[in-house]
Amino acid sequence: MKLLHITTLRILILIFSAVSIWSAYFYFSLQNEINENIDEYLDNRKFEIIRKAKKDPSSYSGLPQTDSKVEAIEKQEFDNAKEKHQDIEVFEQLEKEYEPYRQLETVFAEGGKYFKLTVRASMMDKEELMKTIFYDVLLLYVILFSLIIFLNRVILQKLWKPFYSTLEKLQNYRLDKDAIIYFETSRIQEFRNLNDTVSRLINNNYQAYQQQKQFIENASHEIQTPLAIASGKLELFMQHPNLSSEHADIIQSVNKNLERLSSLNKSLLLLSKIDNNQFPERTVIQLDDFIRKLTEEFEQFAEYKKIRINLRIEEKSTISANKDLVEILFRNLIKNAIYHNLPEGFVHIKVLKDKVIIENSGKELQEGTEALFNRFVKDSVRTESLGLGLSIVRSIADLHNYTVSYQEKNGIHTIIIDF
Amino acid sequence: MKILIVEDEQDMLNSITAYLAREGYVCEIATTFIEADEKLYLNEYDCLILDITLPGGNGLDLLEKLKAKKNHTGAIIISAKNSIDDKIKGLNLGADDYLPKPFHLSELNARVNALLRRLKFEGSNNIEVGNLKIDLDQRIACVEKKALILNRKEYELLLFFVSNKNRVVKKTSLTEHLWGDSIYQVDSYDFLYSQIKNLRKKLTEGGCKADIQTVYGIGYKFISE
Repeated sequence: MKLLHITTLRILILIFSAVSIWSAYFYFSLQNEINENIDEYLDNRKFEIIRKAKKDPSSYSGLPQTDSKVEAIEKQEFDNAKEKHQDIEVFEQLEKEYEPYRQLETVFAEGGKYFKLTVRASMMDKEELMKTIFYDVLLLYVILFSLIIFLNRVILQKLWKPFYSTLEKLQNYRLDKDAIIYFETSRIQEFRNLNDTVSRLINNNYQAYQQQKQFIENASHEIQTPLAIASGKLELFMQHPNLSSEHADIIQSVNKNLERLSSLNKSLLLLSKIDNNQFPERTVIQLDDFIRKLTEEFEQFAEYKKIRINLRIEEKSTISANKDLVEILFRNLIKNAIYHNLPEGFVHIKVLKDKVIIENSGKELQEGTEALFNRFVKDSVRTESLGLGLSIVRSIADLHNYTVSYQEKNGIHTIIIDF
Repeated sequence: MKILIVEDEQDMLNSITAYLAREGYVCEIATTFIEADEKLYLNEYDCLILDITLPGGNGLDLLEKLKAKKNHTGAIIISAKNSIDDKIKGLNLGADDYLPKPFHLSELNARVNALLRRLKFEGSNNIEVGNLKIDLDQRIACVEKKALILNRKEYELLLFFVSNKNRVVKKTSLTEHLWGDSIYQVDSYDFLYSQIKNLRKKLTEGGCKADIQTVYGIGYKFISE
């Protein structure tokens, strides 16, 4: 739910409750006022009737009048009675419906006789009044609601604009692509603070990110020379004419680890170079020929591993990319497809217009597919693998804005490169 | 054959010198820009092995000076930078080859051999080892005038072995030489073994006196008397 909607809703609820409570209060206080008025009128009538009756006793023994009635009662009833005001409904013969009346009941004694007096007044006017008030309140609601919606639409939206602009910029920000972020200036202090804080945060992160990238690259560079020297010395040592098998075992083990370190180093260096965008040159690559050549290179290896490798070119197309990197990308993928295969398995490579699909048989996957592209995620069975191949693929694809998707279903692994 | 090796890391320099000296080359060394500049000015070399980052200057400037002299010194750049820029610059300046660090000594040796062959034996580009003869132009290997039927990789393998004959060649040197960058060639040793087995079989069947030996777990050695 959007901030603006929530704000509007909250205000609406608040206004609705306040106006409702106020309307109820207004209604009752008005009703009270009206009742008091009518009661006053009834009291006056009562006083009038009783005064008249005292002067001229025949006036109450006659026919009952429309708004008053006098009945003779017993002394006992007279003693128990109390004067009371009440609302009643009276059936109107003419309109054939009940109408509201206010009624006063009282008793009086005259000449040793006891009487009950009932006086009524129609409340038709009051009904009308309430109705009018109700419609007025309704109108008030409509006006308030429109005002609030207007407030939301125009004022709030305008007020919050810098916030949304900041938000949008942040959503599109990528630490590895953009360096600095520029926000619109705002007159509102909070937004200015927000922008400043976010800018500072991003700046710090960017610096840290750059330093980290630089560190990996520098470290890899520095490691290269001692590695090269050590492995050179070892190569010389191998040439010793009286090498025993015992020595050879040790040399072999040292060599294996040096080579592992060396390829780890090369991979990290390659990754950091890709991330540092040190491969700016682009050439036009004829995709079908390119893939065909690469596939041919792997044919012998595949044959040796008893894996059928099958290339299908559905459409010819060209891409503009860094040739060295794209070669590494496909080499890694094809190699993976052969390497993580089953005996007598297959690799299908399909070249479409803007797409290359590599499909291979293999074991069913234990972990999620997304993790495979992270650094140092590897098949636990094959400890000699570095676990950097797919992250290199991902980095190269990111650099060229290609999407790489991977899925596995019933032991069929599919990688799609979308250019 | 006289080679000048320009490299600022003393240990590295020693290894290269030791490996190449066994090939019968006369190796001279320089560890700084000025030293190398002097030596290049005073002497003539058949081949220059040049590091780019040197104390006192950039190796590429040395290369430029050398090429200005228009003599026939071959040049191989060895660089730790492994940057494509350096490679292109170096080759444009007239370097004959570029080898990124870290490299295998056997690979450097093979490249030096190939370069010197190209520069010095322009007429007959052949290598003879015992009764094995390799025609580098036509890419054919013969034993006593009978051609061996080798596929492309087997031919390259043989050539690499011949360049490093009587030396122990690491398995990785071979896989990298044959299949390029070794970043993920981790399980290719078995494959290499099968290729070597085939080559060995073809050599023996062809009557070649040289043989490829397995040296424990380390690598292989091409033995010719």
